[in-house]
Amino acid sequence: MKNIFESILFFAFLIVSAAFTFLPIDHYVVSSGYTIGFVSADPSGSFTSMSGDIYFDDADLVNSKFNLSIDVSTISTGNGMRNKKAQTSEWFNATTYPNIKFKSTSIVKSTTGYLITGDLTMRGITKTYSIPAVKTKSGNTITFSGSFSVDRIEFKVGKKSTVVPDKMVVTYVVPATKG
Amino acid sequence: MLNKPIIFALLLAVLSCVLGISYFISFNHFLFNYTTIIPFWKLIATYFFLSFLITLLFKVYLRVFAQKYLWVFNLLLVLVSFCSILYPIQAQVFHPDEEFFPVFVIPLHFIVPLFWLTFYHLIIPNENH
Repeated sequence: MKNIFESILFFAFLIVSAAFTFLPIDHYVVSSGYTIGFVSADPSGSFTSMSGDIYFDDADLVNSKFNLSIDVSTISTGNGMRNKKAQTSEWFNATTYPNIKFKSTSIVKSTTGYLITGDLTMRGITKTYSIPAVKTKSGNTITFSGSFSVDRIEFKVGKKSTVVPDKMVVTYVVPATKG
Repeated sequence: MLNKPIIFALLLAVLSCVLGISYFISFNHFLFNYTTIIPFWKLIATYFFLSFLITLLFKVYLRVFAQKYLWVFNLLLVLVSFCSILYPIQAQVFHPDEEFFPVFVIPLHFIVPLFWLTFYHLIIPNENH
């Protein structure tokens, strides 16, 4: 009887320690309520559809990951003609490159929250961007928000122009629910 | 008493944790802080897991081969420990002092095996050492 108890205890230790050693990182799926806006002198607007996965653990930032995709065809500038023009080959070329993608390569803590560095792909061109983020948590939902500047010329989105500035300030709020 | 697997594994785990955490704290204090890459709880969980796993494998080995060729088990343990250092050498970590990460983490790989090689004879039944 004592041996059985010891064996059970032994395997309990083994299983619990294995569970902590190989603890999977929390997986979140982007949920509704997100906003991806861009602001410049002219134009400004937003993308209304995005999806993606977030693997995030404060205690394990090395294995935390963001993999997000924005549907270019959902661009909304408040002007129907301009929305269509933005999707043409001169700008986002939505037919050939339907998504803007962001895949993180590192996440580190910063003084204000986190700095998420990763590959931002637009029009098939990939550049490394570091995006500041502030995290809030409520129940099973974590929300990352922040803003950063994107140089559209780096991605060949349109040409240099006196009307449309090169740099766009992107503001985002991305809620994600534990999947 | 130490020939009971659970007591032996606990001894191995606790000793490894004490030495590992002491090394961890010293390294973080005097050189670089890697707690964002390996938190303390992960080190403790890993050492407990390894201690119980090695003890279990050894008991299975003893059941199959009795006490013959114990050196084979220990040799395999040494080889596995040595091969495991390939992981931190190849791992890509994001830290301002990433180049010193393998230097920090490789000694941690040998703490459990070294304590095992020191104490393994205590778990062998009816062994007069």
